[in-house]
Amino acid sequence: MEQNDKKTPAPRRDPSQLNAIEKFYEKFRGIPLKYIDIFIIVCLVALAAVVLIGSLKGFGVL
Amino acid sequence: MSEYRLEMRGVVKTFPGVKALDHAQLQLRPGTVHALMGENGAGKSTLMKCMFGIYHMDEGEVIYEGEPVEIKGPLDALNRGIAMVHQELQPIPERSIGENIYVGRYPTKKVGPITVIDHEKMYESAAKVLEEVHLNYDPKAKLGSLSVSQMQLVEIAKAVSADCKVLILDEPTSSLTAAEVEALFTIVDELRAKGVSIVYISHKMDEILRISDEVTIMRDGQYIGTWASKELTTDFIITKMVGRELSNLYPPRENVPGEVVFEVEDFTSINPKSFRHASFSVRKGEILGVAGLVGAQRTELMEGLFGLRCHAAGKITYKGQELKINQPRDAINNGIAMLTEDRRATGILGVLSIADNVSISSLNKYLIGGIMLDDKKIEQLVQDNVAKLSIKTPSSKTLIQSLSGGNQQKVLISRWLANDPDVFILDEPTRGIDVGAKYEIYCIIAELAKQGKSIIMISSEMSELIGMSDRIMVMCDGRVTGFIDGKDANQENIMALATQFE
Amino acid sequence: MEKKFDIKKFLSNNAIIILIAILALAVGFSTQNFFSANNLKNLIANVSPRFIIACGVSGCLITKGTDLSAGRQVGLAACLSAMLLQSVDYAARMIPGLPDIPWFLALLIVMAVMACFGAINGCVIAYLKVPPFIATLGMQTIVYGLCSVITGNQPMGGFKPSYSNVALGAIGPIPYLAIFALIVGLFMWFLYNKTRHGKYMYAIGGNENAAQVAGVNVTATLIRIYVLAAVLYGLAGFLVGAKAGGASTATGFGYELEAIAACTIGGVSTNGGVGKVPGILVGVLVFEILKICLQFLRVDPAYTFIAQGLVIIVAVALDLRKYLAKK
Repeated sequence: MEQNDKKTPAPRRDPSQLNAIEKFYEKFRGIPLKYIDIFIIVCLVALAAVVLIGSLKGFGVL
Repeated sequence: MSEYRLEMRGVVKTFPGVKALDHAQLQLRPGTVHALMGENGAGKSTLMKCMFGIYHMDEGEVIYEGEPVEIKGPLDALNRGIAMVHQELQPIPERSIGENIYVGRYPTKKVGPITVIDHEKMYESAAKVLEEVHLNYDPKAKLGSLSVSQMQLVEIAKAVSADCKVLILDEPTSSLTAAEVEALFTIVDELRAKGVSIVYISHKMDEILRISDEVTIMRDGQYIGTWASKELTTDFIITKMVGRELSNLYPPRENVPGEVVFEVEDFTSINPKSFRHASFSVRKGEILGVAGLVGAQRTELMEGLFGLRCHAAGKITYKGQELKINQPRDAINNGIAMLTEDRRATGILGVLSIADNVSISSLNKYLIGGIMLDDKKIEQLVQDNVAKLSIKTPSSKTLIQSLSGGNQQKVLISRWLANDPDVFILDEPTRGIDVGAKYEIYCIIAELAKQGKSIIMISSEMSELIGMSDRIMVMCDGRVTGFIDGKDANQENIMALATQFE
Repeated sequence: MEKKFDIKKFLSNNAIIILIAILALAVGFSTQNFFSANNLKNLIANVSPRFIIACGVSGCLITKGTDLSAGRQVGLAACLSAMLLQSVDYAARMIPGLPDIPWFLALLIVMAVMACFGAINGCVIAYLKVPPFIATLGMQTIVYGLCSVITGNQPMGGFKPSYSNVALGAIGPIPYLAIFALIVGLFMWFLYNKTRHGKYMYAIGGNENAAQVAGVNVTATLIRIYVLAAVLYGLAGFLVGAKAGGASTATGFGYELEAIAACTIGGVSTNGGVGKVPGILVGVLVFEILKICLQFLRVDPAYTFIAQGLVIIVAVALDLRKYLAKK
């Protein structure tokens, strides 16, 4: 949503305004979102694998 | 083939509640520096973003080198030879200068089946680019090691490196020193000689008149006209930008200053380099303008009075009673209100609604049984203020950050009015606000003074100070250097006091 | 163009919830007893104390802080409750001479004691301006140490029946535990939405500097938040002890991680300033349903641990993504 006055994407806030978690998030600033998406998908696949293997183990199959 | 390299015609762009561009147009010749001027909110940045593909136009066309085109985004524009240096930098300080210059279009090479970034080539090209713009930074150095103004020069180098035919500079000198501005002008001259079309967006009259060949002026999203720079004067430009004769910029004021009510004596900061021995008084129903150069410590002094900064010495008296102010709540409880300079940083609660923003300082007045918030009464308060101050907003639940600057400022004023303060400190109240809203705010200020409130207004706009103040206090380097009566005030005597360094 | 964007956004905002819902449906249709009253009761019993803890942490998160001492505080509270409420005739009684105390009195004492720890957290964060991450991390170790000292590292059991009954009893079909959670939920909802404290809290979370300028008493509000959190941990610890029938220094270990993750999933953004009570409940449900699903799938406990860890990582990654995309 645009305003009448000059407001482009919010300017980088200076470090004193951020808390610990946000400072941590800022370290990822340079990484394109694509790679983060890939990371998320990899984790989800790992999650599915863990559940599957754990379950099979529990049933005594593995 | 037309004489214009780039044309934009009949551009219309609307956002919810706001018509940002109303049949705007632009015509760029090759080898020309074309200035684009207008008040904040005139639509300059929006027009450029439409050209660049960042925004999608509702209507209108872009004709580039004789052909109608549709530019899909910044990289597409860059590939066609249209580069833009943004007003607000988006640097990646952790990365090297070279990486920042080529971000998104890194030169690549193949290592077997994999494509990787060709760092060698990148740094080689980066070094060449930096040389072209007369910057001798090491392209491998981290961008964050540079100062803000140096980063801005790198941004400019980045745009130049793209070997563009059209270069858009949006407020390029906002963070540059005088020497760096000269360096920039040299680059601009060289580019012009090479035949590049340059769009130069700026507020600074003297720069515009010096460097540009043509000037296009916009106002409230509309195209007003294009003139050759050598035919223009500052006054003419201002009149066209503002749409009003200079004499009608400020509302008539009916306030009659009464007796002295607010006195400050020998106010000194704990920081020896900041404000010291400041003494002044304000009368009832008076507007006291506060003038000074950047660094005069005007904001710091007012923040000190409001309890945002610590003071080492000094006395504040209201109607004869001494006030002890150590934090904003003390000031508020004593009837003082302050509209801060940077409303995004210290003014608005961006992620909260308008209703929350208006009521936050006066919640104690809207309680049921002393504990529960009376939403109905709060809603009533909001509606009253929306009507009284003409705040444009879809609803009271809208987040304040989606409002325009002028409306945000009105919400903040409503917040303070809810406490019925006697002393109102305003720090750059019309900064970053479009023309129409500015006038509305002046009217509000005039009305408050008429009601008997004492107004202290810091402003860096000379005409605003002269047009609105009953009296002007001038500061220089932390000291109060003098007072000028409103009717005697002019640019010269204000500047004389503002530059009275010890 | 508009519609496509909507679905994508909805998915990324609620990805984990959707995933767990799918998992639950899959498990439910392929195993016995998943969709049963017993299982539901089990779920409610597990959710209740966790929800109370998450409510406590939420205030810290909303004001851009955190509370890493939550888990250990719950543990300490459980141990204190245990010490006060062991059967008079229990052989290995911790405090031999202690008279028989009604459970609600013990609960009040425990909550009062925990409130002190909360006050310390709040003061260190608000007055000394120590970052919450560090302050609460320190408190975490201190609380654990205290708990060790007080209990001599001895696990406790043998609770008096009226205490155990708090966890086992019910009014009709509704377990007492659920009633506690419900009362807390309603109280928190009221506090966050209908009181000044709630508004101040969101204001601080949105922009602490602006809140200060607007006259909000930031220090007082922050201290209240951490004290309230501690009181809630006290209640939760009390309930956890009753439910488990025992308490030790190991009780509550790691609970804060799940509470914070639950809040994150439920929409209490680590960016501060946003977060609603129903969202917190959803977040907690996600975790508890995940645990139950894994149980039904007979997943080895070690693997369960990994799975939960992965969910937390994904929750944080999604939040990170939202933060970066916004700017």
